[in-house]
Amino acid sequence: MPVCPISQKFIASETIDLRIACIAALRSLHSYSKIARGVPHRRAWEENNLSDPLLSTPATPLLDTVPKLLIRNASIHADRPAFREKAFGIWQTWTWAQTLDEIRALSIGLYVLGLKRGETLAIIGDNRPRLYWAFTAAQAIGAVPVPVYQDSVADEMAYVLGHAETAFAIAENQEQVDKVQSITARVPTLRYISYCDPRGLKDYDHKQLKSYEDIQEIGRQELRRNPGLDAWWRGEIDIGRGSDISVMLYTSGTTGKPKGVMLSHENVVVSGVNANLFDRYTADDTMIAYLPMAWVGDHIFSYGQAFAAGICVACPESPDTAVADRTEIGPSSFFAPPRVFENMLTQILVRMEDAGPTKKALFQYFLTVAKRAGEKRLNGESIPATDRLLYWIGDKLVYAPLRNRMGLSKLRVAYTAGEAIGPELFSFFRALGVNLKQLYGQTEASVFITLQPDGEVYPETVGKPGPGVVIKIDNNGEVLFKSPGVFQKYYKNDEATAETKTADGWVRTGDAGFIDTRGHLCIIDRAKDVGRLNNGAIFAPKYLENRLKFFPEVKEAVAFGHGRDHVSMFVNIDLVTVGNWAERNNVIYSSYQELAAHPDVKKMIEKRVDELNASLAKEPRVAASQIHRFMILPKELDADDGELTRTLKVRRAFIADRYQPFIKAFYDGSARASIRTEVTFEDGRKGMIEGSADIVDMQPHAIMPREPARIMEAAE
Amino acid sequence: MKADVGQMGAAGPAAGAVMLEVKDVSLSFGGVKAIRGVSFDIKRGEIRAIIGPNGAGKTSMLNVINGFYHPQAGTITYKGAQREKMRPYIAASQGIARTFQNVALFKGMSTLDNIMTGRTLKMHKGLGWQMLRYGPAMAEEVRHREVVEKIIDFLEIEAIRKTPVGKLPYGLQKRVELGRALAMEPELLLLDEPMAGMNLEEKQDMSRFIIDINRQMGTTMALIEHDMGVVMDLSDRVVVLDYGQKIADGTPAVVQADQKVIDAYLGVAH
Amino acid sequence: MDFLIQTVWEGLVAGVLYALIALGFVLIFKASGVFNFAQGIMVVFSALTLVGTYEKLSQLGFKGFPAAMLSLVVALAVMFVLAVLVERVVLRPLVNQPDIILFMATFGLTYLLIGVGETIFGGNPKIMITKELGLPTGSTELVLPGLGPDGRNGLVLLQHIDIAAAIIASIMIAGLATFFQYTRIGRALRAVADSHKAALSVGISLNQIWVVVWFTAGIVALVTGIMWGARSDVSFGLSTVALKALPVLILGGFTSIPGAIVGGLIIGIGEKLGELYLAPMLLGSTMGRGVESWFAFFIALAFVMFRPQGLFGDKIIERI
Repeated sequence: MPVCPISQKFIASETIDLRIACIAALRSLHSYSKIARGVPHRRAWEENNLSDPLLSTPATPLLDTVPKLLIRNASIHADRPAFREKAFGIWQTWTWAQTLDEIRALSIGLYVLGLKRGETLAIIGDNRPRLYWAFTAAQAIGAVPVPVYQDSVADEMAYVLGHAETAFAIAENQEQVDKVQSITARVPTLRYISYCDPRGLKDYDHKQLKSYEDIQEIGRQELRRNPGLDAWWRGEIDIGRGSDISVMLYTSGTTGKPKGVMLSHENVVVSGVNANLFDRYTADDTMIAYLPMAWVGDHIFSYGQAFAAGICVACPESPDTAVADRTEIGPSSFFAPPRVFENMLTQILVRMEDAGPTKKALFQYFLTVAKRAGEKRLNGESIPATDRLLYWIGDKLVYAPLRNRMGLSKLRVAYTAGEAIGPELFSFFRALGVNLKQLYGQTEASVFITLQPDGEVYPETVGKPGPGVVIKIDNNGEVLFKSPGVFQKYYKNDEATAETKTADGWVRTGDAGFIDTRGHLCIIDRAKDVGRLNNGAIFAPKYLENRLKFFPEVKEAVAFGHGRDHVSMFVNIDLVTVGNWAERNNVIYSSYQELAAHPDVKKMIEKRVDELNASLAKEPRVAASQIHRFMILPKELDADDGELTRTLKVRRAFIADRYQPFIKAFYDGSARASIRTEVTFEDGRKGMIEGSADIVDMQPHAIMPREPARIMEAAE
Repeated sequence: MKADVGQMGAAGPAAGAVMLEVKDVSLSFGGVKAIRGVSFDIKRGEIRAIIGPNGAGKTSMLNVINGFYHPQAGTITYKGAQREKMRPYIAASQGIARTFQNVALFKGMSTLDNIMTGRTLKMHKGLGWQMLRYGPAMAEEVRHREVVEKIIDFLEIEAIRKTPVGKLPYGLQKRVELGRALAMEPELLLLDEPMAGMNLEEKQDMSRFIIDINRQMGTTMALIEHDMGVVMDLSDRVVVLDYGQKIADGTPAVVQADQKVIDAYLGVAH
Repeated sequence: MDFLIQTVWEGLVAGVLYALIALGFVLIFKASGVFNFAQGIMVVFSALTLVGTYEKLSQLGFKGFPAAMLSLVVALAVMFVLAVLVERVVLRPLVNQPDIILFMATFGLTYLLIGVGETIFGGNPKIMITKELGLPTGSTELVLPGLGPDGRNGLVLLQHIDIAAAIIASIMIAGLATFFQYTRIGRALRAVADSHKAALSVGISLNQIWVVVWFTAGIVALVTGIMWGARSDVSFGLSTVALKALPVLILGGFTSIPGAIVGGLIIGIGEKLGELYLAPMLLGSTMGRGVESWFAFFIALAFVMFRPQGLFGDKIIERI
């Protein structure tokens, strides 16, 4: 099976100084035009092999900042599309040469208005070419762009702008201008606000307010008046160094105030280059930019990667039209959180419900074919000839039209991240021929920590360390990494920086995980939520619960084990799935309680728990977490009863307290337990929870590590 | 009963010369008198609200203004010329556009096509060219499409450009209808309960559109609305009808304080 | 086998003509909500005007292609005048009256047209001026190797006029489709079909639209009349053929243009096949003529039982 040569090379050379890796990546940019012309990336990479002399020649200075990439693109990709935006129903296109022109005008305009090297410029709005240009325009003259989430309320915005000591703000429209104006008192450093869309702003006081075009006009006038200005501007770009701060991204920490993550140009450029090499992006590719510009993912995908390879970035007409616009553009890569894929699946299923009987039958039939052959095909495994033929027919009739409908027909690779994605959902898209993969990343890493290489896609892992990334797991199970994308520091927050970056350069992710025998990283929980069994083995309740919940019969699961001898679990059955099963098998029941107590249901869940145990046994790190005892709760956990949060997350401590007798029974060996407690519900009602259930004993599997992988990459 | 219209002239900040004058207009259907001797005027650039309890004759008034009905008595002077017997399409060609209380859209057609129909009067190229989709007709179509796209952008309905309007939720249908009226580039825009059946957020959006249309395009507007908050916020002057008669006319503040208006809304017997 | 092909071909040609008649109905029904009973008579009347005018011209010694073209122009002009008159005299005064009144009015129109036609051009059947109009006559025998009875070569006879009819009808339908989809009047027409009130408010003149629609229906009628007349003759007897449009409409839906076309073809081919296969089966003889006259209705009725709104018609959901 093919292993991505890049990652291997990087991972194998763990000892190499990361700086060297960066330089190698940067050097590969010079041969990037070759890649665009079709030289296989592998050779292009090998030409810039790590064994090459690493020092750049004076003739080819390092392309170590984004503005330098702009200059490069404007010369070698001059007439190729750089940005597209749908406006007034038509896709408007800017070539790289035009993009340079626009950015230069804005950049000089900003300079004339007084934006100085080292000052910050806030960028607020939906994905628009003009806003992306603002990044480069600021960077060219040494200022630092600070994108702000467009949906943040005035208060959050006030904090970010105030903390970043913003001098300029570029807002998309009236809505954003209003927000910024409402907080100017709290941002004393703010001198100018600029806007792209003049609608509704005609009557505003323009003392501190300037339209984007006016600023560009100032720049253009200066350029006309002073022919040497262009050379000066290019000189300013040359002054820039890879180690300069290129952008500040504020992360919305779950606790406390947002932190300003400072990324250097090298962070952004090298992450972009590496990602492009990893998935073979060239100037022939198109991306659609629809995720918040303030989020590191969009900044790397639509900005770092795009500028590094000369990829065309398409901006949708409005957030509502993103899906339709995607269908029109047909991007070659696509990133979305799992819920977006879930929505797509739901929409397909709903449409199929409404479809005629022929269509429905066709869909059903070819879906089974896809499930049988599709994923194997993507993974490059061998498939029987009949399946290959059927899949080909299915592709013509069903899969291709479906992919087209979702705007994924030209797609080469899709990524998802952010939360666990159900294996069913994941496999569905892969079966249809969408090369969906998972990645794991952080703002502090300039996104990429691990990615799933082609041919090595396992739903339960987040893949292998990306190019140049080294990871390790500390004693508490927390994942740490080093990479060319490691952030410089948190702005004006040395305390937090010290907490996150260790003295020897490792970055704490705050996530607990383990590296499986295939060398893939599995994220199991937030590090602070991970407990320990009495024998010292780690216990990650959410990981176990999620794994069990991926079975359709299981609706909720609650795992216990911290400070205990073994793991036990509460299970809620899924009334829809199990109810369907009951209907088909003539099992009559009148309530959840009755169905939950049915012996066959118990057997069904027992089988699932055993499957989970078997798969846990293959991973030494979590093998001790095999479930020894479980019980199907006689009551459905309910947010109204305080057992779940409103976002339907399990409140473990609360449940442990309420069902104390059950937990006691788990660990004293009883075969059956009952409960009868009076509880006060949220709304003040009093009620009685009573019921009893059998406890099922499981036979844990012997620890059976998988066949060790070919190479033990990324070992600690 | 007759309010001093001249005095009110200063009311609207944006108001200019009188654009439309309704004088002693009466309208009846069979024996039912819908409007009885109503007079008021609309000034160029203002937002004029027509309010009143149900059955006060507000919609009938709009129907008279845009030529659906011909009043039995009284005169209507529009842009300085007294109007003879009126047809809706003549009103339309003179720059009067409107929307309807219960949304009257072409349900089978897309949002785009619906708004394009608003351009009907502005298209002049021969049928032959149009059928060939070539030459001057194509250029004309493109030109009008540009106007329509600007309206779509203005109303933020890009996402439903190609959707048949019958499938849209009510609030969006109202927006499309407004778009169709705007496509006529009207001088006088009549809005019949533009916010009926909308939730708060939709109302806010619609209010913003109405203000932007008035301020940016300088369109004069007459609107019927039940939400008093909206009327008071949006309009420069308000005329109040009750049982087909005018009972008050003036700035929102003046009208709000008028005892007759309060009585009419509280249902005090006459 | 060749016999079957022959039958299907004839059915196809008849179907195209049914479709054209149904199209006339649909146009008027969509735009003004009137079920135009007179559509069948308009077919005859227009054809009669054409032939009659030519006769009068040839009596004056003006013959051949130019005279036929002049007659065609006259016939078109007459249809235009008819459209204007219908709008002025029938539709405008009766606007907002119940549908049944308008339907009755088209009955009146039917008899008026018959009366006027007979008065001016006489009641005798006339021969269509096919050749003078430059339409092809004659026929081609198509040899189909091995498709005849007992494995001999099969023969299919294609009347040139039929081929021309199919081509002209197709062009006409394509033209109408473009007209509806892409022109300002087409858009206005669709708008009127959806909501009169809204159409009025954007400055669409209903009167103008009605004239356009009736004139369009008149043109469709004239083309149908020429084609049908060329296959038999031109007389008021022809109008019964127009009744065939009814099952077509039932099948295709009253408001759907594609429905009219597909429905026409189904009825045309269906009844010819019925005549060929069903008649011998039912009656044990080849006297299929009787079958042809009712079989179309049978198809339509059978269809309606499963899909009351027709093939492409709007779904009618009315609460009771």
